[in-house]
Amino acid sequence: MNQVLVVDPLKCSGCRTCESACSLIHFGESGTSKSVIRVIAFRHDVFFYPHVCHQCKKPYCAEACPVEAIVKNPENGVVELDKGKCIGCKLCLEACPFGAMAMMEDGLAAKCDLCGGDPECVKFCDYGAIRAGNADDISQPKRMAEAQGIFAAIGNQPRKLFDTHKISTYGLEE
Amino acid sequence: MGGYLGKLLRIDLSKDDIREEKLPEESTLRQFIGGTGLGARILYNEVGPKTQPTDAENPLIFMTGPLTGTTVPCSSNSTVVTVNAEVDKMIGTSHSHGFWGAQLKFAGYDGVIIKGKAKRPVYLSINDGKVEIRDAKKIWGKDTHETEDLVKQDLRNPNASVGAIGPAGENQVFGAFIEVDYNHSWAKGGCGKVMGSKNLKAIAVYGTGTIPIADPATYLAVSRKWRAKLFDSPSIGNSMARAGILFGYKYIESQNILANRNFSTSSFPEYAQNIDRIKDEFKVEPTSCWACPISCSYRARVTSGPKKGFLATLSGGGENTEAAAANVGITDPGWIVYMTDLYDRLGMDSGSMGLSLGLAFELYEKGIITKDDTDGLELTWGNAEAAEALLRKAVKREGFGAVLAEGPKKAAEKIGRGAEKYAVHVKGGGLNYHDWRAAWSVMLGQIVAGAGGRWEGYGVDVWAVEPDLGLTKFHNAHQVEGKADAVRMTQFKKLWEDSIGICWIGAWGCPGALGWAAECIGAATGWKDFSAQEALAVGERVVNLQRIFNLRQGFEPRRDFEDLGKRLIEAPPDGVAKGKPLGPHLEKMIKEYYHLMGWDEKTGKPLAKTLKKAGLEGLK
Repeated sequence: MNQVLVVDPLKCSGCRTCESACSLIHFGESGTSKSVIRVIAFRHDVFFYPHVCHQCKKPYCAEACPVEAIVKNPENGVVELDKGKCIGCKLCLEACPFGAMAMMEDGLAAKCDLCGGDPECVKFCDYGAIRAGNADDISQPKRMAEAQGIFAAIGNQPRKLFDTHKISTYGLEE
Repeated sequence: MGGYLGKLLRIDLSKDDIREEKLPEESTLRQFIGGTGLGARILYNEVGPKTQPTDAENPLIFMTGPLTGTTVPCSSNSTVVTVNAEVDKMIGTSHSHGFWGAQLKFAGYDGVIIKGKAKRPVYLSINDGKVEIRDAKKIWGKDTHETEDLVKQDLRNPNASVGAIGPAGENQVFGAFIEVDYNHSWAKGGCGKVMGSKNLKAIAVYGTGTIPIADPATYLAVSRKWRAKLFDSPSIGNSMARAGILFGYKYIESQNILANRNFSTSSFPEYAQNIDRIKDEFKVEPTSCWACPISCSYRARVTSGPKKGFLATLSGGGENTEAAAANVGITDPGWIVYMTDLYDRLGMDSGSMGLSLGLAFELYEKGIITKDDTDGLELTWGNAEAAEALLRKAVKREGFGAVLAEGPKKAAEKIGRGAEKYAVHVKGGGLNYHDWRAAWSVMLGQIVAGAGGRWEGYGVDVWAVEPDLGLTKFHNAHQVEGKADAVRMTQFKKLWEDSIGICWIGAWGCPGALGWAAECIGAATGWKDFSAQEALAVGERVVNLQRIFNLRQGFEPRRDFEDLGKRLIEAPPDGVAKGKPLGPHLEKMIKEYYHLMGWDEKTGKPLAKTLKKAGLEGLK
């Protein structure tokens, strides 16, 4: 199953603990500049978007990489960066349509590796705004929400299954 | 050594001088950690016995702790330490939250020491290593929220965190504070007055650096455990979560701790009910500080009534709204949030200046003052328009406002006619504004607090118990036995928390938090054997340090017993505390507190052996 980070901006408080946790687990330092998850804040509107790597099926970062330092792992779907191969050319940063790639002070690229399957940012989000899941975890709640809206609007009306089928009388009444 | 950046920023506004200096040596850091503790230790050396709060040589010291800006729950703390400008001859300490402390550390500094006086209004910008003193001519006179916006615009950096004074700080009135990140403030110690005296309008910080941690794996594991327990226990963090105070007024009214109408009564059901209307009817959105799982502060958009459409950005304690609104009898929910926000925008603590207004209203109601005194204002309980007008006059020191601008104690002296009887204050300053006549530990804690009436020792009468201190059962609010000890122990815990970089809401009543905080200090710094016991010893050291600082500045210990509004130790006319005055027991309780602290019961001075035990023997 392809795991991704599922974010819900409406649940995010903007506390930025995820950034600190990401930075600590990967670099042993707390801060936001070394984190590959970034909370984008619209503070005046109390709206926050935890920005994450989407682990694309067709990762432009990997395609742009001239030295094959970025590879999508076919087993778990994680787009993995091999720091040993990275030459720091920044082409991946330019290629990523979302801005999920980062550069570190060592001059090499960095990206989300989902912490090997147990992401630290998820563990530190007390608001449930970041979860690890698959694509359906992103879409299914939205489908459900839409369905519930429809249910609230017309759920009490008589159902119309008979409209499309006439009950068979096995010819007995004929 | 992790947790710290190892650098302080020293600024002399008189000389436009900016320089970096090293943090004190490791042994000093381990003694005082950071925040209130380290700030107080630095202040002790920076000033002399004669230094007055608004002297150029009195520094404003902003100090973070090793845990500030990390994954530890509520690790947003930064403290301001200075010679108290609200309470005579005492140290002034105050902590605030939001993102300022974390940003300062990301900018590369553990603290900032600001001395001198700028020749014209300036503001300070700290952006990573780039530090500038910038012109503030255009923003002088603006309110705190406008100032935050204008400074961010001027710096073209919407992500900066800005601490700012309002007109109250500029005019150096009683209770002036420093607002930060819209919802928060360094509210005590008259720090806004000190900042105003330096012609310093605002301090913007922004950083992109990181904080080293000695043992990140342990640090992450312990901070996770702590976060989980916060919501799996009857902690204060749990009850304050998601603008929790708005959901807490049934409890507050039931305990008769809803402070209102200048303490002339201890019950105000109409106010409590209207707080419920804020959460039920208004659009309320909890807002968070750095690394905070709680989000006690909130924004409230007024949806009905005379203030419809107004957006208030408030912090989460309830003291602010009680002092701003209930204290003058305001009950309309829109006016409650409007008045509270007005104090924030004008830049002063409602728990201080609100007491001046409460006094004026009660004196008017009693006929001691009339329209002739009040410039024509009708100060009847609940007259919100008059309260707003009077507050604006006080900030400008205009007419009758000038009488109130020095606080309730001095206002009552000036008014005379027996007004002193009604002045509510602790040592001339404000207090944390609930009605502690129904919670004697908190009242005793406010009275013996080393930096003027504020949260230091709080005991276990209300809100939560402290299992980490062995205080597992609530005390009867009106028993004398055990109060002094509970106040002392909680004071140690609180001042420890104020020194490490966390908001105490993340630890108050959370079983295990004391040990985990100590473990995190160990994991951050590499002091592997750092224990809960050592943590409490830090708190005890800071209590003693505040005391010897105050004594050196000329503080007279008799003020612990005498210098407070008599209202506070009389019995209220109604509620659970009716017929139960603290007054007759106060001397005994304070002396017991002195005794347990290792202070001379007669002189109130720490004994030589106490200072030796605390490692403070070099300081006199």
